[in-house]
Amino acid sequence: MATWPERFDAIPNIWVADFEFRHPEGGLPEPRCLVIQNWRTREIFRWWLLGEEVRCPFAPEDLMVAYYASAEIGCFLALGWNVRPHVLDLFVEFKNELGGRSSYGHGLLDACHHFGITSGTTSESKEENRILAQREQFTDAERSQLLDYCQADVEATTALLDKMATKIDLPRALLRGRYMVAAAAVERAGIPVDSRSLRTIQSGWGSCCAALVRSIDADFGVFEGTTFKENRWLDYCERKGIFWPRLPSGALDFKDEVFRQMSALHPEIQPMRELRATLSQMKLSALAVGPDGRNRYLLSAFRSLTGRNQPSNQKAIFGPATWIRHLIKPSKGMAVAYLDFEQQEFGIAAALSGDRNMMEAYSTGDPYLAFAKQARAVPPEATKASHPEIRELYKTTALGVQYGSGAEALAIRLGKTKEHAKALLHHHRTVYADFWRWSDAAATRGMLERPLVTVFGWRTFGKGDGNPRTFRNFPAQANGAEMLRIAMIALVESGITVCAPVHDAVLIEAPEPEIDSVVETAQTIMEAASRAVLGGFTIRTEAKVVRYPERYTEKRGTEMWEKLVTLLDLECAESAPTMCRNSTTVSSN
Amino acid sequence: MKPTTELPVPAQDLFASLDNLRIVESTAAPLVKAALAYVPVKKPSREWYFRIHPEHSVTTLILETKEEGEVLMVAPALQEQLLGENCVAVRTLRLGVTRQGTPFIWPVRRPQEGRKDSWATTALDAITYAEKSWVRMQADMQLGGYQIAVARVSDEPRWPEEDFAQILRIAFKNAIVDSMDHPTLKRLRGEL
Repeated sequence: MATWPERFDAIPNIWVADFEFRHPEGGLPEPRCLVIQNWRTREIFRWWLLGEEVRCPFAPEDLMVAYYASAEIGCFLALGWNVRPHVLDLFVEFKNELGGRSSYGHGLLDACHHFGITSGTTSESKEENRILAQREQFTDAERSQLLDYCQADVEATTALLDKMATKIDLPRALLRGRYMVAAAAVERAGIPVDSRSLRTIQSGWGSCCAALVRSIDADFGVFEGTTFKENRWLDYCERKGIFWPRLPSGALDFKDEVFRQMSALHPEIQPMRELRATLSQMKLSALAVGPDGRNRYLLSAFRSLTGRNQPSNQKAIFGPATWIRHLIKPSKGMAVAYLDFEQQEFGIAAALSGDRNMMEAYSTGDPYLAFAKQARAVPPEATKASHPEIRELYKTTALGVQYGSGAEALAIRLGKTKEHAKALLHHHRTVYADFWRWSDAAATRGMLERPLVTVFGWRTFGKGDGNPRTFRNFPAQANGAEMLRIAMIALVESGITVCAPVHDAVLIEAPEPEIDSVVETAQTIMEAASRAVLGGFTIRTEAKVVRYPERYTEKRGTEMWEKLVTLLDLECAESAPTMCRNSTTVSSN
Repeated sequence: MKPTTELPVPAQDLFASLDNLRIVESTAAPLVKAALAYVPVKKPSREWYFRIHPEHSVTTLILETKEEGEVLMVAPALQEQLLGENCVAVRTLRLGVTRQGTPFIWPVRRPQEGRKDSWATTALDAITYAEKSWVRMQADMQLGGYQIAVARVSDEPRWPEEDFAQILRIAFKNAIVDSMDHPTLKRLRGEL
C-alpha cells in the first residue's frame, strides 16, 4: 500500500501553482492562464490556456502547492486534466497555523504580511486582474498582464512555503489537501434547482413580500406594513405566555439564534422566524444558480474556527431561510438523497471522552430517552411515546450541554425555572461524569492558551475571547468536521456525485434507478468515516431520498413555501406557466 | 479537452492510511490538578449517592456544636482528659465520596449500648453497602431510621489522591481542640 509522504524531501517535484480564471456566478470556472514554479529550482513556467490545448504539467507523485486549492482543482476539472498530484493548500495551513489567532484576514496578502513577505501584488491589482479575467478576448498585452499578475501570486506563494515548510505537519496537511480536491468536485457538481419556480418567485418577489407578510402576520399581528414592530411582538408574547429573552440593555433580543431556540420551544413562532430571515437576509437574486439550473458556490472549506465549511448564506440554497430549499429538485430520471449523521455531536463526545454511560446511551438509538433512564427520571421500560415530555426535557438538556448552555440559557430553552435547569444539568454531570472531565479538560487547555487539536490535526487557540464555551464546543464540532471531510473525500473518490455538504450531512445525486444502492454505499462510507475519526465507534446515518418529480422539503420551511405556492401559483407555473395569473412566462431549463 | 467531474483516485488508500494519521486524544490529559482545599465533615446529604472507603477509618473524640453544626476534633493529648464529659463524643471518621468526586468525612456514631438505636444501626448498614455500591441514605421518621437506596450502577468512585492523614488535616483545618482554653470547649463546658 502506498503511504503518505512524511517529508518534503520524499516528494520528487514540488510545484507552486496558480490559475487565473473567469467564474460566472453559479457557473463553472473558465481557466485563462497557469503559472507554476519549481519550489526547489525556482524555475518558472507560464501557459496561456484560453483556446489552447495544454497538457497537465504535473505527475501523480508530484506535490502541487496552492493558495485555496479547490480553485486550482476546479480548473483541472474544467480542462479535463486526468492527473492528480498531491495537494498542499497554504490557505488551509495558514489558518491552521494561526488557529483562530488573527486580527486580520486569511487571504494570500494577509498571509504574506503575517510572515513579513513583500508581495508583488496589491489588493488593487487583484481586483483589476479579476475584472480582466472576465473577458473573452485578450490582446497580447492583456495576456502578458494577466500572466505577470499570476506569476506574482505564484512567487508570493513560494515565499510563503519557504516560511511555513518547517511548521507544516505534512501527512495531515496532505489529507486536508485531499479534501480540497473533493471540495472542487462538489463545487463543480452543484445542487439541482427548480429554476423555473425560482424565476417565478424572483419576478414576483416585490409584490409577493407584502402579501407574504400579510398572510403570515395574520396569526401574529406584529407588522406595520412590511416593518416588524418590537412592541407588538412583546404584546404577542405576553398574550401567548411566552417569556422572550432580553439583552443586558433590557431590549428584546432578536438575534436569529434566539429565534431558533425559541422556535424549538414554541413551534408556532417558526413561520415568523422564516419570514424575518427571508425579509432581512435573503436576496433571491444572489442565489448562485448557473444556466444549467444548478446552485454552485464556494464551499469556503475550513473557514470556520472548527474547520467546518462556511459558504455564503446569500449564494447557497442551504442558507438560513429553509423554505427556499424546497426549490431543490432532481431533474428528470434523477434522484437526490440527504444523508446525515444521527446525533453526531452526542456520539462524538461519547466516543472521544470515553464516557461509557454516554456511549451506551448513543448505542440505544435514542440517547435522550436513554439519558432520562440513566438519570432515573423515567422507568427502564419507558418509550418515546410513553414519556414524550420528559424525553424532551432531557434532549434539550443534552443538546444545551453540547452548546455550552448554563442554567440560565437552558431555562429559557426549556421554558422552566433556573432551579429546574440546574437540577437537569446536575443530572447530566452525575450521569456523564467522564464526559465532564473531558469537557473540563478541553476548557482548561483552551483557557491556558494551549491549542485544542482534532484527531487529524485541525487546531484552535480560540479567538482570544477567553470563552471556555468555545473550547468545550470545539472537540465535538471540529471532529465532526473531520468526519464529514473524510466522508466527502471517500464519497467523491468512489464516484458518487456529492452536491453539497450541509453541516453534518451531505446531499448526493444519482440516476433514479441507482439511488437506493448509491445511498447504501454512501451510508457505509460515512459510517466508516465515523470509525476512522472515533477510533472504531460508529455514528449511524439516516437518509432521505427525493425522486423526480418530487422536490426536497423541510418541515420548518413548509408553511412559508406553501404560502408562496398559493401566492404565486407555483404548482400551476410548473404545469402550464403561461396560464398562471401571477407568474411570469419562463422558458424551460 | 472535455471537462470532467472526476479525477483519478490517489494511490494512498484513504481509510487504510488514516490509522497512522490519527492523533491520540490529547485534550484528556489534564493540565491542572485539583488542589484539595476543603473537605466537609458531615453526614451525607439526603440527595447524595456516595461511596465509603472500605479502609480509611479512624475513631476519635470530637466536639460537636448543635447550633452551628460545627465538628471539631479533640487533639490526642487532650482526649484522656476529656473522655466522659458530656460535651464530647466518640465518633468513627469515615472517608466518603460523592458521584461528582467530592470527598467528605462522615463522623459516624456508634449504636448506644443496651438500647434499640435504629438510626445508628441503619447508618452502619448504609456504610456496609456503600463500601461496595453507590448508596443514598434518607431519614424516615416513621421507620425511625434511614432508608437505604442502592444504585444499580457499577462505575468506580474517584477517591482523592491525598492520603487519609492529609485529608483529615484539610477537613479539620482550624477545627482542632488542642487546648483546654479553646473557646468552643470553654463555652460548652459553661466556662464562658
